[in-house]
Amino acid sequence: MDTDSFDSLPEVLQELYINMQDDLYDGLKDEVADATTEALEQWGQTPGQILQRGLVAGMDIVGQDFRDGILFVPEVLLAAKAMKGAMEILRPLLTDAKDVQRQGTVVIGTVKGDIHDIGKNLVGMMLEGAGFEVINLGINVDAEQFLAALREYNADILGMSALLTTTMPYMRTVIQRLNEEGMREQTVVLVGGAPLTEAFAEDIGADRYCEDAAVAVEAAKVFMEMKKRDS
Amino acid sequence: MTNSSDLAARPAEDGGFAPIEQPPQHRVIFQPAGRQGLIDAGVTLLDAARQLGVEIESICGGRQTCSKCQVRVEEGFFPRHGITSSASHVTGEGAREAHYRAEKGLLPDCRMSCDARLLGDVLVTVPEESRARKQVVRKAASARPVVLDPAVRLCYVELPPASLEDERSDWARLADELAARFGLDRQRLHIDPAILPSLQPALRQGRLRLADSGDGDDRSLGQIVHGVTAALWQGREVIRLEPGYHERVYGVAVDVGTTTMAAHLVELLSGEVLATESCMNPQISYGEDLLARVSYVMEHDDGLETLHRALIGALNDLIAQATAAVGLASADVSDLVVVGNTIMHHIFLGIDPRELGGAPFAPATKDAVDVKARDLGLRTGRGAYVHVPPVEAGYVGADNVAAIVAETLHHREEITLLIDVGTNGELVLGNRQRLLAASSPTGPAFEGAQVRHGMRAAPGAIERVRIDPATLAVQYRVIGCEQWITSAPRAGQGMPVDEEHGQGLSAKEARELRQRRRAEEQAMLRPSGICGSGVIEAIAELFKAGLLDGSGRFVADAPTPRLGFEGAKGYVVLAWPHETSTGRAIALYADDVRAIQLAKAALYAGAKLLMRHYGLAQVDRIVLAGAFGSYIDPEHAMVLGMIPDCDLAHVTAVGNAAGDGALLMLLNRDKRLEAVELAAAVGHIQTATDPFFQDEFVAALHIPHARDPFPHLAPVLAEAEARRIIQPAAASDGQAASATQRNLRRAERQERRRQR
Repeated sequence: MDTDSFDSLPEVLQELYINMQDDLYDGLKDEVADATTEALEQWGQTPGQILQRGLVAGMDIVGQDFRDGILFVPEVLLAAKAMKGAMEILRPLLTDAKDVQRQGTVVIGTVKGDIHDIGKNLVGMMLEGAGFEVINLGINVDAEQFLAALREYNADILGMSALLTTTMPYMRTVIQRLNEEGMREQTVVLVGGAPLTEAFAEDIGADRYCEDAAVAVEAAKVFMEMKKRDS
Repeated sequence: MTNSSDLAARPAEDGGFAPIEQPPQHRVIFQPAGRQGLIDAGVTLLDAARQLGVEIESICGGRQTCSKCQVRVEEGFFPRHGITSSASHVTGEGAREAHYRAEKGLLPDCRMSCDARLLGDVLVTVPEESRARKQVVRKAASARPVVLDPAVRLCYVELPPASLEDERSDWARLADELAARFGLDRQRLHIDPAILPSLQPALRQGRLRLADSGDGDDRSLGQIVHGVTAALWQGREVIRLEPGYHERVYGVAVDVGTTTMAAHLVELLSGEVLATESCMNPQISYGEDLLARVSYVMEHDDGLETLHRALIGALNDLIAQATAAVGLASADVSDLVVVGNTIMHHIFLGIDPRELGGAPFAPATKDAVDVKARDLGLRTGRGAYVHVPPVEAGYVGADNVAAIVAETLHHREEITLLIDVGTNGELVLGNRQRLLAASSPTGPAFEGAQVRHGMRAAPGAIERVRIDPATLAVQYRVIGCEQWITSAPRAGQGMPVDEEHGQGLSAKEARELRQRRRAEEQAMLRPSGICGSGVIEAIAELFKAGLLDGSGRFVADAPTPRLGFEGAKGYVVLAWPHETSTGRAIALYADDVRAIQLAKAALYAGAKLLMRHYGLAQVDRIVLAGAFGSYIDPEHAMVLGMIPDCDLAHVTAVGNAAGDGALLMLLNRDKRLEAVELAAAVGHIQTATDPFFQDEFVAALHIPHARDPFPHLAPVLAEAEARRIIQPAAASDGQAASATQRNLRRAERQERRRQR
């Protein structure tokens, strides 16, 4: 959040955003949608401003509290749903709005042989909450499907999930395919799931092991900054 | 059972004037079966029973050797049946029966039914002891009645010595005699080639000189015969031969769990459990959970071999221990039933389990398997079979089928939810009309893993926890120690005697009391950690006392010194350092609560999915199975929201239902068929891919649940709510927390934000 510009806003508008963040935190979908409309119509805020000042800033707090163990999965999902509601209002306007800077594009999925969905979905929602474009390929995704989606959406980040010790070795296969296709350099690979470890992630050549959704979002942000600096 | 009346139908060959007319017939009534009919004179009561379809035990096949077939011939006129019965209406005691009665004794007023031939009308009572397929109630954690009809039965036969006139092989002579004596199908009768070498030695050693030909056939005193006891599997294969007469045959039922394995040694003809042994599954060294085992197989060329050998080795040890405990040897075991989850099932049978490691989780076979124990490397009787019941699906195994058989869900009208709590929860829902099963990946949290001070349910583990909602005082119980321990914040200071017991103790009495206390304290086992049941109770008790809110957060300003915070994450001390064996406090941490929330939500969501597919809002009864399930207190499990709402009087823990099911299949072969039918009939629900799973799972993370009501817990939940200092926000859609609560939370959050 751009603090300087936020502090220079009229106090009433600041309060509107803070309430929006609080309502988002509490997962109050209708209230967040109302505040979004109000900011658009009565305060002339651009969709990009609302996204950054209200929604992304609010989800940031949710992410921190999730990381700190204050919030748990249900609360995070509720907040993500509330954010989704507001995005439905903003999305048609965002496409032609010049001021929107998407964080980046992420392709995520649970690897082949594995049908566990929930943790990966949480990561997807948190990434969306942080302003990423998320392509969720679902479960039981093989290497070619990952590669095709990365190409199609010109994605920056690949997120892979596995919940079984028997399926996590498949991540290595996907990374090998990225290497073979010459796509590894431009793709950041993040991996996660209960049986994974940092050592495993390093061994298979992933960029980062993310122990939970909050870490995944932070890692994605850091890598995008590095990427932007490099280019 | 035979219908032959070969003994009775012997024609009178000696005279030249063989009677054309039928022999006279007499009325025979068997009690308590109530069967009756007209039977030819001269037929033994044993054969009469067989003709009338009354099953009487017999090992010796009518040679007055086993005494299993005793019956009582009633005396007097019985108006209800219109029959006059008398002991004199059967032939008197032959020499062999008299000898047996003198040497070993028979039941009072009873005769060997194979020695008593019909002379007149009789009313016969078959005592419980003599009934084939008799019902016994095993004395176990849960007494289950079982009809005895094992796959292996004993048949004693006496063969005349081989002669030049009789050119049949020894096996053919044995088989012919078995078929004739026990009414077996001669065509199907065969012998395990592996025990053929024992045939002739058994006959040689079984050589005996008859004391008397008590049964009236044409053998005479002093004749030489070869007595041998054959163990017959499924009425068609001879799997063991022993010289002489034997009446005990042994079997072993095994439940191979991921973590522990247990074996029951049973005498099959009496149903008596002689010994029970258990041990850790040695595969743990190659991976804690099921999938780690599969990974091991995938990553090592000899992985399957290693895991299979480890399992078989441990099983051999278990069987050796169990048999040695009652003076037997492993080789005395003639039949086995082994159950386990699908992965254990595969590894036990030497089948590569890697296909079970990922979707679509296809088992190599779902069918029941009968395999020679020796082929798997088991050192039991040479001819012994292992029966492995069918599996239902990749993660619903033979252990689940066995548990259903033991709990008879498929016979009941009420709807039962059977939950086998383990690393992988297995659930079955239904009744006689329909059964549905699912597995739920609960993870190892319930077994104390993923819990900071967690440990296995072993001596020294806190297994029970009580928190007084008014004073927030903590009591706990430790495995290995019967009494409850009250946790107190300060060490060693020894409460003044009179504080507890009032004034008026003499100095001597007070000293004695102190000494007694000290002795008690020394005997008391100090806790070193907390096991799964302890964690479940602790969380439920914290919730009831208002120290934990429904979202799983510790309530920040609860008035107890036990509550502490590491950053934003709370913890609660259950045992102070001076109370423990480690000198460190035993506490329950925020992350522990989260781990249990995830595990219990998986279990509850699995149950809810089954109920949804079944079209049910409520179940009639809940059965908690598994070694761990027995230790869970039903009310605590329900307060936690691990199991759906149900009348607590109808929630029971049944212990190792899978092991009991294996035992039933060992004692009654019909149960094996039942298991086959069950496995085919039980519907399987794949939880992870079900469209409702995520929603049900997330709602079930709440304690006890975000939206499902628990009418049977209403008073408990109301009290918990009243005690909670800050109400949690309801976690379900559309149920917004009240404005005041939200403001409180908001203030709290803004304070945190300022600190950042």
